[in-house]
Amino acid sequence: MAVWLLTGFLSFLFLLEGTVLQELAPQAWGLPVVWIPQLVASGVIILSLYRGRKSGLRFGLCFGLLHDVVYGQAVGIYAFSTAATGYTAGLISRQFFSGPGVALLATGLCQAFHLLLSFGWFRLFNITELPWMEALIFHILPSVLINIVVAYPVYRGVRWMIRRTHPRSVQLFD
Amino acid sequence: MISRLFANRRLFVILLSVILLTVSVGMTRGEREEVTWVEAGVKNTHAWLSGWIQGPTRLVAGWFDGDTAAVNGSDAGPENVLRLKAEVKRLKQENRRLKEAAGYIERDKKNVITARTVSRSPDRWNDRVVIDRGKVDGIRTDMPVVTDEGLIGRISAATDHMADVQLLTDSGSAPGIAAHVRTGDEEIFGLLEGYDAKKKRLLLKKIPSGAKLKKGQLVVTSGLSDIFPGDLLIGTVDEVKRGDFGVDRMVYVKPAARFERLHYVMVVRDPAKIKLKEHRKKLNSEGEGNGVD
Repeated sequence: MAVWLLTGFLSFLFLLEGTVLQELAPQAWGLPVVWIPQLVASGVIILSLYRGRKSGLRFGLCFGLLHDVVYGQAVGIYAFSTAATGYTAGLISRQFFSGPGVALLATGLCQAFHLLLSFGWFRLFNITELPWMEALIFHILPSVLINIVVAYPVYRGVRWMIRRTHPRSVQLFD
Repeated sequence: MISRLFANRRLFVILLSVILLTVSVGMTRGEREEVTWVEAGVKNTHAWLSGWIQGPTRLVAGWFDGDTAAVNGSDAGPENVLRLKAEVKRLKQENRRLKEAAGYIERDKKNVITARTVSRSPDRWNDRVVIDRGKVDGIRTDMPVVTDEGLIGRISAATDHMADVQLLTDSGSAPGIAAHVRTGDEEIFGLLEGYDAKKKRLLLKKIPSGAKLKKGQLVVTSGLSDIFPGDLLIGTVDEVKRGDFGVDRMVYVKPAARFERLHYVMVVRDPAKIKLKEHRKKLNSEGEGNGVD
């Protein structure tokens, strides 16, 4: 039940990434700063904090693959990166004490990891020729900052869904 | 030793997945004529759903855009009046955009397919736009895509009901586009390869060093190309630099079209080029045995 609810929610976020958020993002208004909306990655990270690293791995793989097929030039890059990010988030959650602040911090860290990893693969396979520094300063840093802010509603959404379906389970993040 | 490797399952899985990644990227990257039916299904569904979401978004974005600056929310009438007003605004906006497109079609008598963009790739490392027309409407890969302002890209993949447009701003390794610089009496040939995101200029490379280039000269697609029809406006010459090889020139081209918020785009069909492509394909398949390339 929770799985279907979460899948639906993440699919909705996935649709938002390519449509609505592309109209709102700073690059649509001609700014040099680029925001890469990664709501699905935030969702995968947060549900991995709640449900464990295996779950994060599975969701990451599925939604990464979806991203690859829909937008990508090469199938596999996002599938690997998002799955790895979900798994890492699950590992990180064991190291810290819990709380919404920590959840958002972990989201930021994992977002940066996800962007760096996917950009690294893109560079390796020569799918992009953007220089490293430019990608870091104009794409990755602003994206991580904005994504942390946007992750809060995603966090609330995921938390609501998990609470609704497992009302009596132990809650790490509150 | 092998048993020890298998004992550490996590390491084994990581290694295996990296290998799988490399294999699948190697198989799917680059130009593909056809996408598999699974991918086509996913892409079609996504394009269809995005089309639903995109409509209301455009309306709201249009308000901020100043398109509908005349909307005054001060007279708060019944709800359906407001809704009708919003509908009228949306239709006006759509009408204006389509008229711009239609005006372009009338000016240049070319066979074009007007399409609505439904989504855009979230990362700008490969800049792609998804449009809501596909093979059923006559779109094939490699067709040029324009707006009423100028060339914006080419079709990189098409399914029955949607197509991917690779924009000129894509930083990836797209095949170069043959282009001409118009310098009054002569046309100087060059290859459009790559985009400088910092300067927001397209790069026109491999221009002979003797060419007399001035700022403001027009850059258009070349009719010599097998794929693209000629005389599609790309932009104007902005800055001339020494090329990569030292013996040629490189030109920064200021693109004529805007790449932000693309709503309606047109796919240009040139029947002659399509015939040429089919003919070439036929020749290739016949000549395979004879070593003709």
